Amino acid sequence: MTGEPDTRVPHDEPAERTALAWQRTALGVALGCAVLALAALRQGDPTLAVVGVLLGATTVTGAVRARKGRWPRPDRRPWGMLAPGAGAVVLLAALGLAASVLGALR
Amino acid sequence: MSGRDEPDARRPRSVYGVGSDPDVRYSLANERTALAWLRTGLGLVAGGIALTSFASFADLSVLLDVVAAVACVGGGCLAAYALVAWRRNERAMRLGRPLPPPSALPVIVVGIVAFAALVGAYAIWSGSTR
Repeated sequence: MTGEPDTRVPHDEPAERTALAWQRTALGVALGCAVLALAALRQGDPTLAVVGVLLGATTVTGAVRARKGRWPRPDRRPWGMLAPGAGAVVLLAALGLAASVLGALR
Repeated sequence: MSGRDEPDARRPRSVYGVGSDPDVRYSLANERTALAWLRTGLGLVAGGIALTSFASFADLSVLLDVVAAVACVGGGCLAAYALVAWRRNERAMRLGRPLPPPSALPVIVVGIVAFAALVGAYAIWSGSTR
């Protein structure tokens, strides 16, 4: 029962878990983009690979900026992060669909 | 409604224009749930991309590319669902209503079972034609 008293505000821990969830998601998008870029290069489609790399870089940049600027704040605006995050996954899905169609046509 | 002096300008208005702010821990939990759905969709998309990549790598059947395309579309739909579910849950919490059920859960279970059946059927078929 010795040691420093807990000086954290009660919402620190949930905010930290949420920040970690965001980091996992951003990392997942970045990895997905890397897999897409490799698959596109393998299929001989550099344009798709470049778009994938750009999407991954944008996601990582956005996650780092959000980490610096938004946590923890009482008036957080999750929609401003959720909508672009979902948009990135939808865009990655569209690129994956394009890679699948190109693969089927070859 | 939000307990601050200045007017609440947060978006979307369909969420923040109604009710009052719930305990921030519940809002954060709702956000994490939406992120978990997003990652589930992301897993499907990544699986689809990996599958099409593997199919081209090992010169496998076009059927695998079709399965990969379906996985990518499903993943994209789940990402969109994450937004819809977040909005629905946040709105229910602000209005003090019971949370709506996760309507995508049965769909994703059926989808994954169908996906597994398709890939399994392909494995049996390709094994028997060897």
